[in-house]
Amino acid sequence: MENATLITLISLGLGLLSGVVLHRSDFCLAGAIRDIFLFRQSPLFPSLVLLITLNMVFIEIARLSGFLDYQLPSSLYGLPALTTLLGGILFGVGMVLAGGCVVGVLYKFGAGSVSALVTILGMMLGSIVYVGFHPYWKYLSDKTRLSEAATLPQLLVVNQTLVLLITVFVLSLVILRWYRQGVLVRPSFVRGYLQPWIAGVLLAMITLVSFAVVGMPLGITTSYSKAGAFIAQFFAPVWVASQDFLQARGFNYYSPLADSMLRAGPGPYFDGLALVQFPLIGGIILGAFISSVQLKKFSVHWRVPVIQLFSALIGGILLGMASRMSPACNVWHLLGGIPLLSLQSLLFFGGLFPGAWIGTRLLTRFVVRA
Amino acid sequence: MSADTPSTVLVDVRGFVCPSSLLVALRELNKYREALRKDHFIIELMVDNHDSTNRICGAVKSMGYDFAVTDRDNSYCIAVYRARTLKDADL
Repeated sequence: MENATLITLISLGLGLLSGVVLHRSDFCLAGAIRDIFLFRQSPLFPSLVLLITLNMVFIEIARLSGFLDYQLPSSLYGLPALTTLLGGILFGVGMVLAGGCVVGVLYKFGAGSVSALVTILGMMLGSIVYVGFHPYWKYLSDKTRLSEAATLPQLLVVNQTLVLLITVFVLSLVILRWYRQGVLVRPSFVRGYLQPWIAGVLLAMITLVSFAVVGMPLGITTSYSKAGAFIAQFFAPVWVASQDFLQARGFNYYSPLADSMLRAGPGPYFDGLALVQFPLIGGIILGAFISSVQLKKFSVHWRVPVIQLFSALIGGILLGMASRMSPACNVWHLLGGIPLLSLQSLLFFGGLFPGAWIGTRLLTRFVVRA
Repeated sequence: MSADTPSTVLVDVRGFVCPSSLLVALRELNKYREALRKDHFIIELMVDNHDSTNRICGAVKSMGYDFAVTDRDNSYCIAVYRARTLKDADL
């Protein structure tokens, strides 16, 4: 493959940058939605909306100028089904119990969090658990398909730019209101804190670069499946070989750097996804590690209440399963799919809210009493 | 310990899964609210992430207490008190 080293280095660079930005701003995508239900106000939610709105603007400008060309449905975002909504709900529960989403736990692990490591292991386990019921879930997914349209403009048979213009206009008014209320800027009492709204702007730029250079938005969860499959391969090679889900390589995407279509899958082998995602994951962890060491805030604390570690594990398993059921994670859907107006991503996003509500109820009842 | 020496309660939420660090800190602040209203009482909260530190400080401020953040190696220490407490103790 052409430019494999360059693809790896660019992904590592995007990961490093993301890791530093996420750690400095504590930009927790899970917390942004959870806090709406837990505290009735979410300090990070306005920055998340800003990030999604900027992604809409950046990606559409790139599309209109002929820089990007994404025709949906594709391997990136398929057709909407009820199973995506259910996956979103389960993901919402998981991210609250885990105390972070699939990316959040990476930067927290990079700063020394033991519970984040437990969640990461849980996500690998959850991905493998999903393999067991994949055929049934796929059947259910096919049976509950909601439309042959992949995006909102396709469904409404209207121009994509028009839908985006209206959406961006409405969201801009909301953001302007937040700006006037002063909620975009967070009060800070610590050194080295990066304002979440600045983090939102930087993450939107990172997503655009990822789309344009790597050929897809930021995504990592297939790699949890791969990592789980590598471990399963060691203990149960016959089972791994017999599972269609782990043997399939149905994910195809155009890599601008390799100048060709790359095939990939969730099984235990190195392919076009591992080439991008493994360095991205390593980069986020390393970036957060460097940031925390530089701030003298890298610390490992083993004295974590057992119930919290249990919650982190269960949350991780749910995240791992839900990421395959959806069939992607929140970063993939929120940062990449919603700006493309993918119906799958909108369904997933809709599911996150009831999921986060359920997760919050479970958290305050069983894990920590407020 | 002299009568003027403030008594200190240490609450360590380092390593806690989010948002437990914040919830436990708020719970402890609530638990000791009577003591905090009197003099000579300090709660020291040990926190290890930016977000919880900022939000605990914000909550403490809105509760009307005074606070001081100390940037220690590997953690932040938020001392919550009433201003008179520290003045008397000459800390």
